[in-house]
Amino acid sequence: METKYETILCIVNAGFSDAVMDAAREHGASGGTVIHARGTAAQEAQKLFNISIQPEKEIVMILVPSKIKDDILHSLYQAVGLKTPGQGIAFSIPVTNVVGINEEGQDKK
Amino acid sequence: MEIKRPHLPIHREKSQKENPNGLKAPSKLVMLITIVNRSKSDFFIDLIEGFKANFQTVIYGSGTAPSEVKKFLGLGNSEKAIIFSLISEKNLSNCLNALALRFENTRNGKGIAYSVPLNSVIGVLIYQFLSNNQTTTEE
Repeated sequence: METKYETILCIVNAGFSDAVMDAAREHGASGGTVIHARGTAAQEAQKLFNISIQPEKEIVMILVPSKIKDDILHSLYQAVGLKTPGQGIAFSIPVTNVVGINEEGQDKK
Repeated sequence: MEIKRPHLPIHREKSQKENPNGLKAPSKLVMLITIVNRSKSDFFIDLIEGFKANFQTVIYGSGTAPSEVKKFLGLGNSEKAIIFSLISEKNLSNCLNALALRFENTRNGKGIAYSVPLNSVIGVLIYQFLSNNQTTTEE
């Protein structure tokens, strides 16, 4: 689906939301919203090694024009991808209607 | 009272074509995501509920807009509420217009709202509840 805006969701280990936003701003994102969350992966590995990890995560939601979406996703992959301490995954979902964004002054805000 | 038209542009994708035979598919559901200041979350929940959104949920998050300047000016309150509402597509544009107006005219009420289309929903009753379709719920 081709839309003019997409929202990028990036799930990273807690404490890395600033790194996510820094990477996203480099490519023109203006702002984001951070939600605290808890991951549920790696149950078996935890049993195997008999340790428990409280998998605290942060989800960063960034609404961006589709034009710059790919750049931002690449940049996130480099900065906070699975091979970095941030251990992040990022994906985008299409957005059909948008209200509350000045299209011209987007970079300023 | 004079109603001002919102200055903020509302970006819309083209909606589906209408069926030439006059047959109508049940209107689709969309998820409306509204991000506003936490103190205004109840206000916007009530506003959206007025457009027949029967199911809404709020998650608290925090904004990340360039904060160095804001902190310096003492405007550092970046606590946000993210409102997820399921709403029928036919009520969506009215709702977005109202939201755009409120974003502009409410003190401390600046925010953004966007919609994401839903591909599927399971359960007739659930669909009728979510889309507030009260015509055939008797059985």
